[in-house]
Amino acid sequence: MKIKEDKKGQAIVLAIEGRLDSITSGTLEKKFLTIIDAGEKNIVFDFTSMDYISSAGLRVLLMAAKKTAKLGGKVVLAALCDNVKEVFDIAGFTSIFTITGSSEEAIRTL
Amino acid sequence: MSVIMVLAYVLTRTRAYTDIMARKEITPNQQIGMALIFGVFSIYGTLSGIDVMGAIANIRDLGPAIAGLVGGPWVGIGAGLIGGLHRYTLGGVTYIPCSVSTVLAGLAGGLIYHWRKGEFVGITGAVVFMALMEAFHMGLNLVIVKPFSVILPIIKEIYLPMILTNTAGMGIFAFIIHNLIRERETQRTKELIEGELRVAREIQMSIVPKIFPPFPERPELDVFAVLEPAKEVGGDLYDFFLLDDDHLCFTVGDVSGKGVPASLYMAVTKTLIKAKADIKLGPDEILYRVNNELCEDNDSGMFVTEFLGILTISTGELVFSNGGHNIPYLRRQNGEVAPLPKVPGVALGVMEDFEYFCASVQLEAGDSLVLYTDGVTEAMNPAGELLREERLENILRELNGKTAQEEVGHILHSTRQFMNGANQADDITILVIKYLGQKLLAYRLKNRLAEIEALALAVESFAAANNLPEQMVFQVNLCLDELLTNTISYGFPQGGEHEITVEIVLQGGALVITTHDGGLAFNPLERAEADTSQGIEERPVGGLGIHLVRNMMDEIEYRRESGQNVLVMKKLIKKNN
Repeated sequence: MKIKEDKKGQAIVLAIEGRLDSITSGTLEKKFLTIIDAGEKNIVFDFTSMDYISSAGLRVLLMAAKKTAKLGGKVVLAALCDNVKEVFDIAGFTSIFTITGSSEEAIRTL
Repeated sequence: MSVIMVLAYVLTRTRAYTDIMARKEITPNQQIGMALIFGVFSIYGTLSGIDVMGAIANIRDLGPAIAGLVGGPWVGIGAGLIGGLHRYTLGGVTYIPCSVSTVLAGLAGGLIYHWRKGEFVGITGAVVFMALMEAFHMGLNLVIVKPFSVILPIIKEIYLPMILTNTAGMGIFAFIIHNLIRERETQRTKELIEGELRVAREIQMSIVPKIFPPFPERPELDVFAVLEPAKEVGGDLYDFFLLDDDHLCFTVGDVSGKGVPASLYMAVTKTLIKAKADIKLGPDEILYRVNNELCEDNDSGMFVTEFLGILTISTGELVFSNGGHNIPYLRRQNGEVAPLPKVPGVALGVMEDFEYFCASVQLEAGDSLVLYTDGVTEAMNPAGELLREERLENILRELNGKTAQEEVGHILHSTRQFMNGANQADDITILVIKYLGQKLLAYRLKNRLAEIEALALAVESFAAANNLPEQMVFQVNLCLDELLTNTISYGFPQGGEHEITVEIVLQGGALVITTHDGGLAFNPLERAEADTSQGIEERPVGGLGIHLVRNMMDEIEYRRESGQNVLVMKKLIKKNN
């Protein structure tokens, strides 16, 4: 799994490439915490190239959402593929996350 | 004479005629009609007569005579009265004897009809009758008309022409009627035979299985069969049925003889086989028992050649026995065609207590078993050549990547092509059992998280090979990921290398996924599920995995067995739009 980091206006865009599962989610968690420590509080997760997510990945996102909320920031998810969106639906995450079609849209909502 | 023929022709086209031919009662209206027609014909006879010395030689008596022979006394008398009265009114020297004998001709014909109980007297009878009638007519003239010296020369002149023409006329009419009667009888016999053949065919076709595919819930099997009966039903039979969850029993046979007896024998045989077949018996034992039953009450002396096979579906092992039937062909996945090993055995119904033998062969996925009767190998073309086994083998070699139905269709089509319009003398039966193997993925992985991805790839290629929908594959992999991550992370606190097995079976419309692991007893289903109604703040982090699994699988079951955790999940295959 690869993570590409980009600063766009007020937000940090993290583009995930590959699988977000029990092995790789730890890497994402560490990355996220580093960014938060650096003072950021608005994160866009760009899932255009993410083809798989398991509950481990969901947990990281949930943790990220809680943390940024405490800091007065926000997490926005962008460009979920159909299978991933289905997982979010089943997990009930679509109602508690802001989900947009593209990362540009996501940035605009922040 | 032509008038007679025309009249005969017209008469046969009437309803009364068909009724007479069908030996039904002639209705009074029909009787009146007939009397009138023959009466008019009688008058025509008078009018078309030839004057001979003051007397008229004619065929007046013919009408009533025929009317009586064919319609009975009342019709005859009726016609006779019409013709006779007309003659009476004409007067002349012979008016009394002539009128009287016209009526008598009708009566006499009717009496003969009565004597024959309505059956036509036949050509000879009719002709002789007419000759005698005319002789009588002439005699009557001699007796009644006075003076004798006057009538004698007249009679001498006309007696011969009178007798001859009337007799000839009767002969023609009788001949026509006789032929028509015979034709009608032939027609009736033909209908009887056809009716019988229809019954035979109905018996035969109603008892062989005709619903395809017969086992839609068993993707390991592709079965198709066809039975094309010959005109004279030939007694072919086929059958297939599951002995239990893992065994398919099938048979093809050919009864000696034709028609209803053969079809009945075939029905008995088929029923006996199904009744005697049992998972505890081998095919040789089944044939042995069926044979004894058939021999027991076999007055007819008929027998049946029969091939019987039992296929173990999970392994592809085929065990079979043969009772004198054509040895089936096995077409391997790679195109090789060879007959099954020969196994000795006589036809069933010949000899009691006959010991049958069995042989076995191993089927691989993609192999086709082709069973047939000699309606195929002994199919004949117009030149008199038989199709024979070699040609059939070539036809089988042509099969390539086809379904069982396509294979049967191809073999049948090739057989018909060979026959090239020649008559089909025997039933043609073709049964193809295509073994597709059990679609199975069996995977072993070590208790390391990294191995889950490799499993996912194996699942993906299994799915691709079986055309499973992409979303389904994603969800199956996700479920396996969740469950195995749990097992690997928490199932072996002692550490060390352990094995987890995953088995995925494609079983008619669903994927059944079974996992085995020897870790700590743990039932993932007991874990509290995530409450998806809670917002971000309240949501606990745990419980998501099992929540996903429960929602993505249609069925899920846990059990602890021999120190192992066993989890069985089922997901139905839904076709994507």
